[in-house]
Amino acid sequence: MSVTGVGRFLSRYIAYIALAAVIVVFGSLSPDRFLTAGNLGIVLQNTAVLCVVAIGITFIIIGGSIDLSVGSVMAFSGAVTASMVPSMGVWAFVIGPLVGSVLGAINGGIFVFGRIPSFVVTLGMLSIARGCTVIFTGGAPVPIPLTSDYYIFGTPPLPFIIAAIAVVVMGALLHFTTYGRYIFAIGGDEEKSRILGIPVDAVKFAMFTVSGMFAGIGGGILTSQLGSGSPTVGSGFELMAISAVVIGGTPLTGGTGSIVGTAVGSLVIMALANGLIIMGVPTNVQTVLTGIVLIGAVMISIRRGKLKIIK
Amino acid sequence: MPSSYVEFTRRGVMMAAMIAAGGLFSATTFAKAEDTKTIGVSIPTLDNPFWVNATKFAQHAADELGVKLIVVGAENREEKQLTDVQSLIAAGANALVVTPQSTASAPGIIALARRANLPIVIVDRYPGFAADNPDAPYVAFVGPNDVTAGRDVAKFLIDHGAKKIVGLGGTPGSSVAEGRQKGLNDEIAASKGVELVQYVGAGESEDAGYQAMQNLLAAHAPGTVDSVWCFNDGLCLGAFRAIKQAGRDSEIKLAGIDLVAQALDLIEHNTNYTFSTGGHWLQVGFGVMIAYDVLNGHKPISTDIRLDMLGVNSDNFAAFKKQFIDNPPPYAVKDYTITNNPETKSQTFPLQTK
Repeated sequence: MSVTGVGRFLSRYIAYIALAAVIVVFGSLSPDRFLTAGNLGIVLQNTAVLCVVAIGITFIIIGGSIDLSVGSVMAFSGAVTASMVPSMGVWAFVIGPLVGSVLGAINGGIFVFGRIPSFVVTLGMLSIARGCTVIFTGGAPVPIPLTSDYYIFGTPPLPFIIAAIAVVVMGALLHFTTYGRYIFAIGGDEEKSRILGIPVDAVKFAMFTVSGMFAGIGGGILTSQLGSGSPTVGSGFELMAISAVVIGGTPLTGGTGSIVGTAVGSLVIMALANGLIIMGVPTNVQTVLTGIVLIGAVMISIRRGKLKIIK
Repeated sequence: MPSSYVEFTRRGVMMAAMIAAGGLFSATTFAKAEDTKTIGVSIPTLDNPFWVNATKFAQHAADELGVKLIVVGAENREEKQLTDVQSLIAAGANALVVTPQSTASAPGIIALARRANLPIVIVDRYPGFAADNPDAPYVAFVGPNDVTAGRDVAKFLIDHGAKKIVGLGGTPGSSVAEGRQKGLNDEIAASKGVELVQYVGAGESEDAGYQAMQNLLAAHAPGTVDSVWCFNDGLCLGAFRAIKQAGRDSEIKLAGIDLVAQALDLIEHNTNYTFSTGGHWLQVGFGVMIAYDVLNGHKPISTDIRLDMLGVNSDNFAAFKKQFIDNPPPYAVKDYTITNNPETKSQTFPLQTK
């Protein structure tokens, strides 16, 4: 492999390399605890919500925008879902993606038609959705009845199955459909895409709706795992989801990236957290290490030759 | 191409360094699994003094009992707590002691413990259902008695001459805030000639207390308020600042809950901040003791343990400081466990200075 080939290989497969490194390090230090089928199952389950939410954001980041509102959208969708569980039972699960899609569509609508940067629109939505959640719940969590069937969505293996289906379906949508190719084109060069006749506004609007929908699905799963729709859930979750996308090899500059990479990036974050707890590393040190891995992954994988300006 | 080689070397070096650093770091922090029992503790956060104290005492209790303790803080995020608890299970915990981030997230956490077949003790935030319910059973609950705490604060103020009290309450809707407010109302109803001038649900932070108190001072002219009852020390410290700025510190006394360090400092120096009650940070350690008993085959004597708190004023400050702050709290840990002391008649864990 030539030297530039190695560079390309690293930037493309950094997430896999990071995951392998995490497994090798923790596996060799604690083979009897970390490398067990039970624990690896736990890591997969824990990854489900992060992975589902990060899939939505991957679309947006590849398209050259950003969505900071997913944590709050998750909380609001989850709270509304929890309130519907007593009357709808398991069918309340459709409420999460519905509510999420509406909030995502509002994001997309304001962004596209109001011509306001996505950073600002979604930062505003972060605040609006959080406020609405607190108002809706009255500041206290909305509990799900202890005997409800809705708990199935948080019980293994369903969260993992939902995430796996999401990866396959959305990966196929992104890589094998015209819509997916439009997103790559817009993220690569929006002006040229517009000249080429790509319906840029419609694609972007759909992108945000999809992101909201996946945040809603994440909120629905989390509500089942927690046993309630909580007004405080998911704060700061957007940053973790964006980290998963970036570790997964999708640069914030857009135009390139993959869904499978995002899934692996999510696994890296969760396997790291799991391994560090198993090793008995203090929580505050874990937070520091997660940051180091994020910067390290980008440092190794970034293709400096292709970027004219780094800002 | 030379530049490519530089790039190649840089990437290689960075990666090698990262893996080496990760390995080295993990190796240094790696504690080898032993035969001793492990108790996993999950609490809302590790970045506030209350929980830091709680962890310290829990560790002290674990050391005395010869069990290994793994403590994780959830950074106040419910979703992180779920993964924390699962990781504790994977880390080989034999029992769990958990303070749910919110009351309603308890069922999810109990379900995780149940799936792994581990006993779980719930601390501080009552799940809303009894320990022996069939759908989400847990070993026991240990937490503060909020009604008594609220009453103690009101009683101290009234015993020291309060007639016109203003109440700075916690976030409306929270069970802790409601419990403490009930204690305040009960005590006022039982005392003749004492009036609750106004009660506001202010929040929990110092800022909230400062703002609310400024508004209350504007609403009530000098001479119409003589005491402030606070939901916690955070609010009370804010209110203390507002009263001082308004120059009314000679006429208004304050009392709060939690035994926060700055509040204790003001109490020690005989300011108008006269009283605080708390000490319930010990509850996590008590939870560890109960979990230890369960691992040794002993069910707790009670499954719903409410701690009466420890009141501190300028009279008993010195004794409190010596017994609870400067030294490990005065509990012969082993004597409180049924395993080591079958004679133990109660696990009520009285909080008092001697």
